[in-house]
Amino acid sequence: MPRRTERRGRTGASAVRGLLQVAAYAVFALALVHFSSAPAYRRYDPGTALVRLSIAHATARREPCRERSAAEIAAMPPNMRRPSDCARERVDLHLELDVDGLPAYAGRAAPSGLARDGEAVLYTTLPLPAGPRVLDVRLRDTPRTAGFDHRVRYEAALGPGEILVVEFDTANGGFRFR
Amino acid sequence: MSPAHGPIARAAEALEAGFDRVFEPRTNPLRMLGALAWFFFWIVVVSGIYLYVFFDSGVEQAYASVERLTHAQWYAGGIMRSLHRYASDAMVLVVVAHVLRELLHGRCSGVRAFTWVTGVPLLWLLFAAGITGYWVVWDRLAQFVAIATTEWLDTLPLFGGTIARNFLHSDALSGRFFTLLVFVHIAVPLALLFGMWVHIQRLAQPRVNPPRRVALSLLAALGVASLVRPALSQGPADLDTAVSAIGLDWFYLGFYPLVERYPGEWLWLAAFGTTVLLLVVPWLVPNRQAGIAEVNLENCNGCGRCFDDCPYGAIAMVPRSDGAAFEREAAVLDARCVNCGICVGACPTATPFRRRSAFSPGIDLRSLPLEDVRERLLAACATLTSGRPRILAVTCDHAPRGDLPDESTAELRLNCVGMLPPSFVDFVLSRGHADGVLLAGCAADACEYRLGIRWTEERLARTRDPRLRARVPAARVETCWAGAAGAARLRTALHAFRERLAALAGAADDAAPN
Repeated sequence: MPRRTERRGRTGASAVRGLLQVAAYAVFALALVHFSSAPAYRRYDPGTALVRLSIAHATARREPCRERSAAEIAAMPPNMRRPSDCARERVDLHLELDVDGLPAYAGRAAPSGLARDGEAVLYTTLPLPAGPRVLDVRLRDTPRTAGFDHRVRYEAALGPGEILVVEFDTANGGFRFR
Repeated sequence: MSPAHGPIARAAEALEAGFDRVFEPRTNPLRMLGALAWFFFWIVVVSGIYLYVFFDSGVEQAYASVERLTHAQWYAGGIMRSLHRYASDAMVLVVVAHVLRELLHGRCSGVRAFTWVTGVPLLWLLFAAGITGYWVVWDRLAQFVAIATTEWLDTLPLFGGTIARNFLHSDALSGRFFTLLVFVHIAVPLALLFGMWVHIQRLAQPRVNPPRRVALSLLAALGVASLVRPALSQGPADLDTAVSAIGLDWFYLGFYPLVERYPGEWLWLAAFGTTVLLLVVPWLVPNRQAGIAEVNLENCNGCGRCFDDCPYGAIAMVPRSDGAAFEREAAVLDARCVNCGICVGACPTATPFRRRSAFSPGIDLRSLPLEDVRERLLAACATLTSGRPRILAVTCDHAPRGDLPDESTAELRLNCVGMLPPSFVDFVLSRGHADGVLLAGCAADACEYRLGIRWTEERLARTRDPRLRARVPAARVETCWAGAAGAARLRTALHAFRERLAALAGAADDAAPN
């Protein structure tokens, strides 16, 4: 009889352990399922729109190009005879944005590349309350130290969650909004 | 190579011991985290191959094909997609736990430095594999991940701030982008697999498969999860509208809120800093390895058992150099030796019965020669004065420390129990130095030196050379793998063993002629 009791006790303990194992695997699976998609990450209020400034623009050269004389050109190897002598370095890009008359962004970007002769890139995202907005965008891309070379005023009706992208393309008339 | 003894390490060990009680020690998932990572990786690979067959790489087609898989083919493609997701998440979970566990046990310095250092880049590859997987679905989550990732990448001087501009509006994307993405999503896991292979190269007999029972249980758990809560997309990506709220996979994407909140440069610094810190950990954790094994050619017959049993491949069998009539001899690769002594336990010449003035086995530890072990064993047994069954407890540095020895229990402490040749057990019992031998050490399947427990069990079970002689009564030998946190379990095992020995003695008295 004692042996039977002992065997029954072992069976009971084994069943409890089996249940605990199932529970452990269930907790593991539940944790996976839950944290693979929850809790939700709230980035903006539902009534928020975004203005995304994305400018990649080659600014003017820091020093103006100098025209070479005919004698200078003649003295150069044939494959290097260019009429202009231009320094490579470009100026920084300056960008400012006012929304509804209030300053919303002011940034500066240096030209890319070791010689600072590539495009200057500005990229930023501004959350705004949705609704009608007046944007005043100004850009400076020349050696001037005050004022701006390009300026545009844009009226937008921004819906909730809508993204307004502001780009700049000299070949297509400057600022583009979409 | 000493284990960490801080409160966190003790808490982790207690947790593992608790799991040992719920699971069999050999099927305790906490003791096979590396093997589980391999297992989940293969689930991801198999399910990924299935998904790839039905995946269309195109701006519109990518999302649509995944939706078809999820809903029209829920019984196969849907389950495969969910298994792909959940096994990937599970892999992150076990890999993080694996890193923490090895760190807490101090298993990252010395000879283990190679395994540790080669594991660090795998964290980046694992993350990259998961992130690109989220991109290819091209739902709202993919949109968020793509933009957040590229914006973060753009903060590196390397890219000049132009990558995120690829996601300005829908027109900017083309199907070729998805082709590239799928290529990356296949290439990175392949690199991960290669890295995982390198990661285990310095381990003899690495465990890359969990026991079948654990594997089937986990597969069943993932399968049920896939049926009950299948992985779903979060609506098609639309680059013209903002993702305001999103269900994140916190295993892979948990740090993305930080990417949006803090400057990207800081986070790169934190990420690279953490990586460098992990890489130099082996040189920050004290390596208490003392001495190495040395071969005594006079007694080495080149049998190769030490070569077979060394857990770190620290022994090479090389052509004989002393002109003896054996083909090979053992040679110790000093840089890989952890001084565990398992090779000594494997040596057939390491027998205490030898009647020579200088007891010198074919391979021995400089820091703890076997001759000293025999002397210490005899001295310990000489203290056994009680009339109760006398027990010699052979323990390792990772067994509980406490008041084990008393007038009927002697303790012989070794670097690893695997260092004890089975002939020593025979020696103790046949010469009457003790009535029973208890071998106690690390928790089961958590041997500090990987294979000490396994080889000891097999030698005692007479299935591995050198085997315990048949004349040794199995009832007089006991093992207890309780680990440093298992003092109570060890005391219980000791008590039960003594009662068994007492019963044996009583039975012998009854059988004796009056």
